[in-house]
Amino acid sequence: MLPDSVRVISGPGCPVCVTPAGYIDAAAEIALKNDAQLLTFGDLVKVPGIRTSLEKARAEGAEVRTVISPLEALKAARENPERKHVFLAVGFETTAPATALAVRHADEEKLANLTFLPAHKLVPPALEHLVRNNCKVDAFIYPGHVSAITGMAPYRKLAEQDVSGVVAGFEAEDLIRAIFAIIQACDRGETFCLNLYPKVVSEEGNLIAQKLMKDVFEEEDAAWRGIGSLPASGLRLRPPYERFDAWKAYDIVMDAREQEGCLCGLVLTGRMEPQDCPLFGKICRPENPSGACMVSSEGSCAAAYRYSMGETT
Amino acid sequence: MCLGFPAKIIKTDGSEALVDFLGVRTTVSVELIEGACPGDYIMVHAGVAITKMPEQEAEATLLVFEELERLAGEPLNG
Ligand code: SF4
Repeated sequence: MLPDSVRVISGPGCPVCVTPAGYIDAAAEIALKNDAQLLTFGDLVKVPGIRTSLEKARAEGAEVRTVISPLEALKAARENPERKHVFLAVGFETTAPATALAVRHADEEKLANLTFLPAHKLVPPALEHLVRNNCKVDAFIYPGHVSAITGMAPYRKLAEQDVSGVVAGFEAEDLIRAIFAIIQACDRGETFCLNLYPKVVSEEGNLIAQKLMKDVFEEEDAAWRGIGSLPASGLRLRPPYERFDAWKAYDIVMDAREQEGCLCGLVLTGRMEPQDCPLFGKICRPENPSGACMVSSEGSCAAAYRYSMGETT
Repeated sequence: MCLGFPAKIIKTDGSEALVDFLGVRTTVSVELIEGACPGDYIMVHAGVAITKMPEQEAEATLLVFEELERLAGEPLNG
């Protein structure tokens, strides 16, 4: 559909895909060893860890329940006070405020049977990493719903470093408009930073959510699957909320190794197309994924797989 | 997990709201937005309203969701 001169490359934009493999193992271990119920977003269930997956842990007897909101985890813990619950808190700035809200409520209600296993990630440090590592794009398409929380400030800062981009929504029409705007702006040869999603994204972002996130979390260096550790790119609970931290409550550390064979790291940083991975479509398929990018419906490899199958049928 | 959806507030007590998304009613938190009122359109993510939306824009987005639902042949919010 696009002319050959325009290439759209996927980046580290799927929160499930950037969650380190060791996180999955840690969650499974908590459930199996401590008899706690895991509450997770559905996308995480099939993601392979290094040794296991939540799906496999479930088959071994772990209780893994899918939820669509951290507030559902809160409800589950309230309804079953005898049972330990652990919410798998992954996601970008869009989801972190919802987790912060759940932590705040759990604190107010003095809930003793709910903890959180935070692996939230922040988008701007990942963008800065790509820029520092000579990611040669003309412009970024910034994520609309993340930007609803952060506002335009992170992108204005990138623009000062000569990095261009546009904030866009998620519908096909939004993306076409974004690509069109980028082509036009590039022709002018100046750095640009445009908000094409003003119905959802304001200049300052969601100030209530930003404040709540700051109150509950503090930044820490965090591991990204396939990319490695990035400074101040993750969130941990601040000391007043430490008792809700499942890492501490269950005394568990994350295995920092990468999962073997999968080249998601290259895909996530735009250095390889999914189709060029030797496992793509052969061993690695959505029903039997080798890497996280093939699992989540937003993963680059899953999208490329669906698209390439659609073309041949 | 990143798919936010626009919804219309049916009623609210200021912290929770009953909302309508393509005819399905669900309860979401409105604690992170200011002055949520019945009739407002909001963008919901992970069970929490992250921003208010102008009515016209929200309706246009809902139409796209309806179209997607029709193409997929199954409810998107199931
Ligand atoms: S095709 Fe599979 S193994 Fe290869 S990069 Fe994608 S998810 Fe990883």
